[in-house]
Amino acid sequence: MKITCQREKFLTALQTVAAVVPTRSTKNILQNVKLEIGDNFATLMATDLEVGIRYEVSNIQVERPGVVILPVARFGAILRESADEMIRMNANDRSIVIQGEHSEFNLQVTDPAEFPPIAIFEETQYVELSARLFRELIHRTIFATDNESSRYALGGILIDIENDHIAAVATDGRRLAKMEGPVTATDGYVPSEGVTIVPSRAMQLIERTISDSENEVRIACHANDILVKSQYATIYARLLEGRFPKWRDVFPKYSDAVRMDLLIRPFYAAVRQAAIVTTEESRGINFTFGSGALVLTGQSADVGQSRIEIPIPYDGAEVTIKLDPRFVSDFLRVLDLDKTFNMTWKDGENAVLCSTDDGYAYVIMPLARDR
Amino acid sequence: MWQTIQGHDHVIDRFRLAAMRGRLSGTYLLVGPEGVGKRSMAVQLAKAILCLQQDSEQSLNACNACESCRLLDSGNHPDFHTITKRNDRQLVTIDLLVGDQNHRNREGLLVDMAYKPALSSRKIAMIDDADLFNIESANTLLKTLEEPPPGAIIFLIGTSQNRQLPTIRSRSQVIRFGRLADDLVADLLISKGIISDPTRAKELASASYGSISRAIQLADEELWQFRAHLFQCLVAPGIDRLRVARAAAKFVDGAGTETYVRRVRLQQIVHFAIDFYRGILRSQSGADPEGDSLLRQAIARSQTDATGPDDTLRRLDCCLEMLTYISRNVNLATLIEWWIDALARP
Ligand SMILES: [Zn+2]
Repeated sequence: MKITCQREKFLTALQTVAAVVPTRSTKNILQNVKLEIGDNFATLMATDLEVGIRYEVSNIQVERPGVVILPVARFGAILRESADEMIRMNANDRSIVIQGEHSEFNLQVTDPAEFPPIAIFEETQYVELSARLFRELIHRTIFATDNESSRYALGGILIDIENDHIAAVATDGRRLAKMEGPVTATDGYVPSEGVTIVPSRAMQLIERTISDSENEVRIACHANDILVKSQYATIYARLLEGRFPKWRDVFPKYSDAVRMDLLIRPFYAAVRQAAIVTTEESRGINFTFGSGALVLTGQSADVGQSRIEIPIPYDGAEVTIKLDPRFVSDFLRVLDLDKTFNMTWKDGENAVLCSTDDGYAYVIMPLARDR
Repeated sequence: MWQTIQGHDHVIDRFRLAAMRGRLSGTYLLVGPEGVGKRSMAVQLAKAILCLQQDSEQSLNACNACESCRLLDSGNHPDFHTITKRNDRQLVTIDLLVGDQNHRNREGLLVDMAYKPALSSRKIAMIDDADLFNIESANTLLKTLEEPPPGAIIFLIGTSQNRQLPTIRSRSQVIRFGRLADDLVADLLISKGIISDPTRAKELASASYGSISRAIQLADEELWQFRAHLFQCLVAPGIDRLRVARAAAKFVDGAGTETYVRRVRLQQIVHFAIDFYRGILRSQSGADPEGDSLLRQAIARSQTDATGPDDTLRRLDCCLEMLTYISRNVNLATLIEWWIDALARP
């Protein structure tokens, strides 16, 4: 293998794939990245066996194609510490020479045959959606995952694809976030039969690789894994086993609920203000819906009290619902502050449903109120 | 492929039958003496079950050529997870299963097992040192054994099923491994290239109690010499406490600076003494002698000593007690003195 590349471009690509490299692993081979050079492509790969990434690097002059396994920490340091614009690399079976203008490194390399394979996107059946929607699917749900639970399925985002429609769902058992949107399926697309739960770590990586893309993203779900192809990256992620709550059942179907549209910006401000006096021990805020006004009150024994009032379009009987302000803020934070959202509730005991008109819905369970 | 596993045909047959009927269990507890091939068996089974060739699971024959076989041989199979007690710990701790405090439920063997298989149709875990769970790790493991991930197989490797929590034992299929025949151990020593002289290989094999790992340890000339020296000391009427304790301490120190390697060496010494007293007990009860010629000569000579089975039993107990002390964090030099004193008591 013999190439010349632009150092900074190459380093950026390396840093993207290096996010997958495990910080500690019993399998030493995983501390490496694989660089595969063809006549007209260069692909960087890394995996921790749970998530794998292939990333296309552009602007590379190829003199001789080949494959090389590089120790990610040292290789990254060489690229980072250099000030050269261009870097040359020349590898054989045992070592690689990395040359800048005034520097030269000779690193030992590992046998490429030992590197675990990373899937290629060769699907004929998949769904396609905009990178923008996919970002929202991740961004608006990932905060509701629970990565510390021994119910490992809750550490992932459920992806549910039906015909021309995709839903992403995440929950930690106390609140649930769901984002939906349209997809285009290839002819004859058959949705995967199993439950598709994608680890949140893989979702973070996907989000990063499509962060400034306006292109389409392709998704193929299989029984054991998911493949996501964007402009430069293909990400492979093994799915999580386990039971995911039946999310459709979590959504309340009230016949006698109160529904109201609220402006996001003033509501969010009120929640943040009310939360100033809360503590770890006394986290809840009382949302009291009264005639014409919503009053938020917070209090904790060793700090004090807060009382915030905002006008609302409501003239029914007074109802108080105690909610965790962090959970409410998580929802508000991912929204466009200048818009409105809909809040649906029944009483102080049952789930509160918050939703927007662009396919986003969020269910929060109230906290028990002290009498 | 099964030629590499010798001396346990009945175990292989049992797995073959279960596999043929598609009835492999979720948890197997492989128990038997150290160094008779329990791990090799589990790895070999994993290889066959994970192999990508059709029917490899039913026939338990790995193709040795596919990607799965290749990755397993290089120790990089994504669906084969193993843990072993850390050298600096006395027990298998919970962090190996579900991550440490800062990474709880985000890393560790059970978290790895929560993912669907990457390459093969199943995923397999091998948990070494299954004798050495603490309560916390045993209970954590138990939760997974009660509700194992679909298609998962867990091999627990231990020395005795009595050392398992009953709750773990009752959820496992217990597979017992016996000692290897001396001839087989001798052959293995030669075929593994550890010993070239067949006579020496036979001698080591007869001292190994059917354990290849023990035979390999004994191939260390220094250890072999000390063993002979220890037998001489134990045979002598009235043990010279000071001299024996000093020699033992010096030998243990010679193992290295790390506490762990010293502890291992002391365990080896205590096992030699156990062999000796077990031999004495056998001869006192009129059973045929066991072991290599060195040990047998020592036992024969010690007959002149007028002790009864009760004394021998007491000394054996001392040694067993000593083993449990060694596995705790006790000063080794003090322990050695205590132990030799106890053995020397008339
Ligand atoms: Zn195979």
